[in-house]
Amino acid sequence: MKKILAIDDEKSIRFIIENTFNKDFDIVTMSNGKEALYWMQAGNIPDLIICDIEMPVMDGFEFIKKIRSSGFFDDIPLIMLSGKEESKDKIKCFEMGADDYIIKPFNPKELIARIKRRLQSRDIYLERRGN
Amino acid sequence: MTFILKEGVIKNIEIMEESKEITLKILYVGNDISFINQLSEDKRFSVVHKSNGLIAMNWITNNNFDVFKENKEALYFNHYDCPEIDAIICNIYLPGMNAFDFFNEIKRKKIFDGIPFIILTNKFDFQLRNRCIQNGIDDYYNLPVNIQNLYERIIFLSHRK
Repeated sequence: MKKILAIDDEKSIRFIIENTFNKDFDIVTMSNGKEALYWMQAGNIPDLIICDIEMPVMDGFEFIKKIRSSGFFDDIPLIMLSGKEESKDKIKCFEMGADDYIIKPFNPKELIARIKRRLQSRDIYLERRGN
Repeated sequence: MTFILKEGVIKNIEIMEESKEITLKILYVGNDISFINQLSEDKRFSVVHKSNGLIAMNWITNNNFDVFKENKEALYFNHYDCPEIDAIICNIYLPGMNAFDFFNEIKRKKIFDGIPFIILTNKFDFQLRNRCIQNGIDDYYNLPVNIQNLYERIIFLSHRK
């Protein structure tokens, strides 16, 4: 089962993600970017990350920067969640290294569909690289 | 800005006055000339270069790194002689002692406790990357390395520990 890391400071969002995704994925939730980075650095490499932008301690932008600077985590698919609809925030996320951007509130079925597509692409990519 | 040149040290700059960025002292173990050039051309790094793990271990022993922590001030009157380093970067395959052997040896001897240890490789290998993180290696980069990413990553890893 693919491992998904979801980072959001809102309990309700973590609850929705955990309960919607736990049939299809091994889901781990964290409340901020720093907590997530420490967990990953301890040897846990997820297959995909879903991350909120506005969070305490370490926000989504800083989190993107941190994981994209690491050779361990730079190729993990990253989907950003945000309440912000402005184009400039989306562009900033993509330029920093996010792979997708979903506006809250979101349809969980759409998120699952996007996750599955990203994971399929990653599997094909890794297979072609001989891994 | 201060430049100190000495044997084994390519550059030693304490603080970049213009940017106030921290200078990172790197022990590089390996023989990738383009990587050495990359580091030595970037003023945010000062590099001690050793071509393989055995030579690096000899250098560590000869510089009393094992007693360094307790006797730091007594041993090194001049700051620029101080062998304290911020990160170890090591090529995966080296003659005599590979990166894992070198990592385990310095870990066993408790030298450079808490210093980020980063492995470099010429070819990406998914299994090898997983082996690195499972063994407590701090990061794994494929050559050529993005030097900005490396700098930011070492800063993060140093603060984490």
